[in-house]
Amino acid sequence: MQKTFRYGVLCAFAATLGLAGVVRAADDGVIKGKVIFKGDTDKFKRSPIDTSKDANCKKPIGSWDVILNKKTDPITIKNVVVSIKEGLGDKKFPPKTEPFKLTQKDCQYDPHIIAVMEDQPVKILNGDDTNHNIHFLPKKNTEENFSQPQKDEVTGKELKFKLEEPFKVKCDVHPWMGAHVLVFTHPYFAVTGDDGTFELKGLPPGKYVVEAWHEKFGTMKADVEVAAGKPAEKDFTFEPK
Amino acid sequence: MRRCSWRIFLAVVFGCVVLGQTSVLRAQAVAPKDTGVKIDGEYGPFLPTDISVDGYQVDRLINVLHVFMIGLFVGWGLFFAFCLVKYRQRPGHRANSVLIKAKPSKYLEIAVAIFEAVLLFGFSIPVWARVKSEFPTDDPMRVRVVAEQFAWNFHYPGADKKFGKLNPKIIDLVKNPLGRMDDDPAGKDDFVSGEFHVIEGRSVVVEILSKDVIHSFFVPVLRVKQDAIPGMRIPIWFKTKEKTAGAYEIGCAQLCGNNHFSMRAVMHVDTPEQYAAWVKKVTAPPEEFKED
Amino acid sequence: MAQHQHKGGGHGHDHHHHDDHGAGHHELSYWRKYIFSVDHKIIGIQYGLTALCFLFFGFSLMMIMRWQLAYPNKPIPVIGSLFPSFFPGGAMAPEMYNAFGAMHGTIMVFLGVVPMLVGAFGNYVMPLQIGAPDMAFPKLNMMSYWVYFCGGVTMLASFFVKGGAAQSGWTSYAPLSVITQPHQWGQTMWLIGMVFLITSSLLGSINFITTIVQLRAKGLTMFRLPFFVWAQFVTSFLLLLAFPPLEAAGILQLMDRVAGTSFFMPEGLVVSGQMQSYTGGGNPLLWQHLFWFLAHPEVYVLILPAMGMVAEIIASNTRKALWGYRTMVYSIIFLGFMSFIVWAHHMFITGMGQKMAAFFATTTMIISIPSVVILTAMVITLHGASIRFNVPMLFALAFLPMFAIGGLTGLPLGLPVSDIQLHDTYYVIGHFHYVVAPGTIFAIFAGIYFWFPKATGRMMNEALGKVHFVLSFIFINVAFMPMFFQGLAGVSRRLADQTGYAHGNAVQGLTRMSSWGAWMLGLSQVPFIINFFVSMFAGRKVSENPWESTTLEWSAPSPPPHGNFKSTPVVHRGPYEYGVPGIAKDYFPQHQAGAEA
Repeated sequence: MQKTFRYGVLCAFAATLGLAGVVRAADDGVIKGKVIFKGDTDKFKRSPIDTSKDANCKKPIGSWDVILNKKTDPITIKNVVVSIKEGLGDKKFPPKTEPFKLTQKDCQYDPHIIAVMEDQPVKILNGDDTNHNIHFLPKKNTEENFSQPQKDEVTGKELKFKLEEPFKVKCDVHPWMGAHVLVFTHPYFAVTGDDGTFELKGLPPGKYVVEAWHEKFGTMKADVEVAAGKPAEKDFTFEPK
Repeated sequence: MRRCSWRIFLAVVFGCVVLGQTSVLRAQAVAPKDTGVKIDGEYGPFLPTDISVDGYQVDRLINVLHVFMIGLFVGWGLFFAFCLVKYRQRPGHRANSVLIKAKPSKYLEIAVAIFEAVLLFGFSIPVWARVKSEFPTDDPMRVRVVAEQFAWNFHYPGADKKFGKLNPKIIDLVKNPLGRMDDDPAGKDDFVSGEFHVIEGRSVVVEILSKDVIHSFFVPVLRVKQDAIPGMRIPIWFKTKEKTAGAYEIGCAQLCGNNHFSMRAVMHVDTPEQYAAWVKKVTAPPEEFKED
Repeated sequence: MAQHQHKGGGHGHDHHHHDDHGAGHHELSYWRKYIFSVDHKIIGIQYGLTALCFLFFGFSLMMIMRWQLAYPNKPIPVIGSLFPSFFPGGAMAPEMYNAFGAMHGTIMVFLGVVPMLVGAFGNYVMPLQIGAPDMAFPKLNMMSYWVYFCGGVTMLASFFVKGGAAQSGWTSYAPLSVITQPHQWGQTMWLIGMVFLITSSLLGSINFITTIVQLRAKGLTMFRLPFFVWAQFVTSFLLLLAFPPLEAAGILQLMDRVAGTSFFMPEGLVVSGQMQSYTGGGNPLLWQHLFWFLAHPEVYVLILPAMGMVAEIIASNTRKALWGYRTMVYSIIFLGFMSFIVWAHHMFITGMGQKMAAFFATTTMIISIPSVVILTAMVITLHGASIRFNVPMLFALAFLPMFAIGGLTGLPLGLPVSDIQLHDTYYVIGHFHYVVAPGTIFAIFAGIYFWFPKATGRMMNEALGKVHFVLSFIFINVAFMPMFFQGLAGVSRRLADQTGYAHGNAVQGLTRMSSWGAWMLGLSQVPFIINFFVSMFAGRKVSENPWESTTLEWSAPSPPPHGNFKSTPVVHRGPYEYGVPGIAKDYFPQHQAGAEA
């Protein structure tokens, strides 16, 4: 009786180990694709920004609400955030520990999209010879508003956001300066770059709802099934009027 | 002996103060700061350059007042010092219990009152009336100044000299910082800039507005200061002197938040040609921004 | 109340009877005697010590701010590394500068100077000077101290909440004060603290008025009152009439912050590009009117008791009656009255029209006349005197020219045309600091040195006092004189860093001079602090009247027991009978019977 029990425990333990191994081995599911633009590109030209308020902002800069990658074929969209919306269940993920660096350079935010996990540190640096005042305008997280009068590309100030939400950031000294923060509970998100592609890595196999978010064009959702060992492909196409 | 040590002590203290101050001031002579645009005019511990046609009235009152104040203070101080020395307590000296009839003090007080009345009715009220009511009729430039945390926006009415309507609901800080409405014909040729340009020798009427909190539009070289109060539109005017073309500073004089100290803009006093060139540059249809 | 007065006037305070039967009878516990005391002297000392702490704290805030002004964005030595959470990177951020600035003003005015002048000196000296055994309402008196204490704790605590203390200046102008630090406690706690402080002042003022009207000793007619009592009397009326509007306004602003009302918030506000939901057409100027309707009389609250103290000390140390006592009394009443109709001279630049500006400029010019009269009267008192240069007198004498500078520089600010250039510049800072710092604070020092022997039975050290005076006098001028020149140059106040402006950068040297003056002034207080505490235990012991003065407080033992006087004093003459012919001594105290002069 006792022996049987012992074997039972041993078997169960082995099974658990085996299962864990299987799950781990399968945690390399990938979703990749690109975010395509369809429509009249002339309507979404970047316009130059009038930085005459501060003579220290010397470098010409352009608007960023829509940045199209015209060199790619088809034309893709920059700064779209693609993330898993549903399908991860109640799983908890430890926050990323390496700080996300946000630099204020040439009187604009670099990068323009701040996609971070909850409790992931965001380090804010000032790369300009002028005073900046970063103002976060969240709904759920606490509002942050502080100035950085000095050029400081090393130490900066660190913040953490506790709750999942997208919200705006602006500079109170240079009204044109804007950026967006997106806070996620999980590490499965990506921002499209100059080639308009994204890749979500390390996903367990399963069915997911994937969301693409753009500050101007809104959101778009798609169902994607991820199988082990084979990247799932999904393109999003925004057709703004 | 005791008196002597006091004198030495005072001399030492005074010496330390003078030496300390000079060394501090010399060691930390302030290097000029790069503020982007070279600012014209002379600035020092007294009133700065005056480029306004009417600014002398402000300066005159300030100067007259200071001469009066210094005169009163010195005269009064001499009497004070005289009393301190003459009527110090010493053996054999007892205070005179009979109060003096100090007619001069009465005369002094009456003189002060009369002088203040002269300042008030001669130098202040008429000038204030001119500032407040005699708006220029010689075809002035019209500009709207819209303050916000922490920047100045200058809204020009364009060729039709009419301002378009503003709608706070459609404000977009990147593309439409004032909320100008596209469907208003008066606003078609309006333009907005972060720089203030005026033409030298021409009067300017400025309407002052604020988007959020109270700011104060202060141009030291023009002797112009006016609070920008949200919910109100307050007109002021000034006229620059001839041959004053250059760049000058606009500051915020009312605490408006974190970056009150950096709420600065540049006023360019242009020759008519420079102004036309600037308008042409600002109103040119924007070219597409291309990243290099 | 009536019964109390009867006892006070006739047989002394009811506790007085117990004292007659010997000490130890009905001995109060330590807590009732020293902490929750109803004795006006203990309460006065409580007020005094608390206010001195706040004055020192408020001054420290400014000394730290002066570093940021002199050396913008450079790490603050020592303090920067001691409080890393306040000073990220060791330097002072502009928002912290604003918080310190707002709290410096609030603490100095509402927690330091007013409680010192009215709460401490008024409470301690005034009942003694009128021959009263205590205040009319002793428990109310205790309550006003503790309400003040709560207000102070609220203000101090606001430094440690998230987002820090209030950042909108001591004037707390809406809409800034309503929209900054949203969902944070700093500004809200400032408003709550203000409600406490105003309540405390209101309770105190009612008590003062009643006491002066009802509890004067027999024979002490209104025109035999010492000038200090008159000053307290007028001040109490100012507090009583000016504070309620601000209390109401403070609560309205609190509602704007926490309950979504819009008393001071206009429609169509766009903050940080976000349209705000305030509707109903509130007006930001309403706040300014309500605020300055208090705050201008408040300026006179800050100066009238100081004038009163200086007058007492000058009369005692010139060995001579005040010149023009009645004129001074009429002037101070007139000042008090006029101070209610000059408030809008703080608002010329808000877009005021001609009629309003003409009215307020005229009243402002008129109010300068009684100040000139009082100052002149005090100086003429020196004529034919026999001046004793002891420490209280040195401070009182220094008050005169310092207050004169402060008063005179008010003229260009009171005329709308010159105010265009000088409004909200350092000129204003220089002006009111000359009134309040070398003016009122010097009067406070004079008062402390003068009445210290009455409160403790011991003298403060003269030599240390003189060192304190000489250093303070020099450095307070080094600190404040440059501000006039900065103001003329056009440097706006409340800038965390003026070097970004060409006109500010040009006078940065003056800023540094001013900062060094302030730090040296801080160091100059060391002899005072040492003197204060050492003299409390080791000072030379004195009898009841060390200065050979005439007013009633000097007829009580030093320190006065509970109930104040050994026997109920009766007054025979005016307050300043010095050098009366036919009397051997050169002073003739109010309570001494004898030939009328």
